[in-house]
Amino acid sequence: MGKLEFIKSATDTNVTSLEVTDCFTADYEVYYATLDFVRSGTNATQANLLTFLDSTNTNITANYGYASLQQNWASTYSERRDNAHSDITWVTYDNIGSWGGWIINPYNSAAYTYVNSGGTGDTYHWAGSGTHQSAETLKGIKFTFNGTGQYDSITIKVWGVK
Amino acid sequence: MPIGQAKFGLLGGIADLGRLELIQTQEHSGDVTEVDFTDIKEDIYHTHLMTLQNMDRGDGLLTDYRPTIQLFESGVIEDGAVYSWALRSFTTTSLGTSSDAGATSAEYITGFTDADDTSVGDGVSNGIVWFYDLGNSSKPSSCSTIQASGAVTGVYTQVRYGGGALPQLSVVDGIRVRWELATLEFGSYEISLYGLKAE
Repeated sequence: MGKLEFIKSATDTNVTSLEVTDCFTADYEVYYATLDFVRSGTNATQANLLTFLDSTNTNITANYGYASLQQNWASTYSERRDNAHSDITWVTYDNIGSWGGWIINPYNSAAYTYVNSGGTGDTYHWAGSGTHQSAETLKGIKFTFNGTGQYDSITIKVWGVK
Repeated sequence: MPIGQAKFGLLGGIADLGRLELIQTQEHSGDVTEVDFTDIKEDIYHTHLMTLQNMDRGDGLLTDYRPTIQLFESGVIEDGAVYSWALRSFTTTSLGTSSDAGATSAEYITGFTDADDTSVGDGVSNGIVWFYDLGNSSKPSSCSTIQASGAVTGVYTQVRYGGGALPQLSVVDGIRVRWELATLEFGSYEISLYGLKAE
């Protein structure tokens, strides 16, 4: 068994997005990241948008695909997908939640980057996978709140699998 | 009380596990109705990982039952109808059932697979659970599960994705694994709990 080594984290309050720069390096091929958030506004169809930062730590807003499943504790599930999107969309109605995901190949300039993840709030579980469909070196990760309101608090942490 | 063998990963002996730190492993040494983890170091870790291997019942019967999770608050098991959970189930052949399930005001969380199938045969339940915010009194404690079961051995494999929550705001300081029918016993299990450290 290898090691899961903590690399870097970022935290902030009263913001609509947060990024972790320079967390992907040539030292690891696979990463585990967590998102921990409390956000304001009404509980509505509000998403956490995952995007990656390129080799200059600039946010990339194209060439994403994703497929996800919203699992409501008490009602019908909902599937969401897109193959040419501006982000990897994790939809949750919850204003309080946590997410964890495996990220594969982000620093590899010859391969696509893949994400397998699951997250929970107080009324939903959501599971899904996503891809950045461009072979390029990625150096960071970003989450953006696209609803009405903001993150009252948000923390992103990144580990590398050795 | 659980009587399974316990192996503890004390802080001085975990250097070879990097930042995924073993807290405790418990494995079967006699049939028990529950397996309790009561020193989960929730003040240290925001995220916990639990691995479950070879979960099976001790009665030898093939009735469909799955493992479940309950949580301790201040050392007391929360066994009221307060949990929420959801799962999607699918199988590798048409012999199994593909379906969605969920509940609020439940006595437990479950995203696990059945150990057996009443009409087809014997199996075991395996999988992983990520727990979040157990020690955070300002957020619900929640978990995300991925379960791939051996049920039913040699016939089909059952897979489930799901999660659950204890919506009330509290500090959780322990985790119990039991069957959805509380009187059933574990005839086999190996369960490990890890903390994911970030500093």
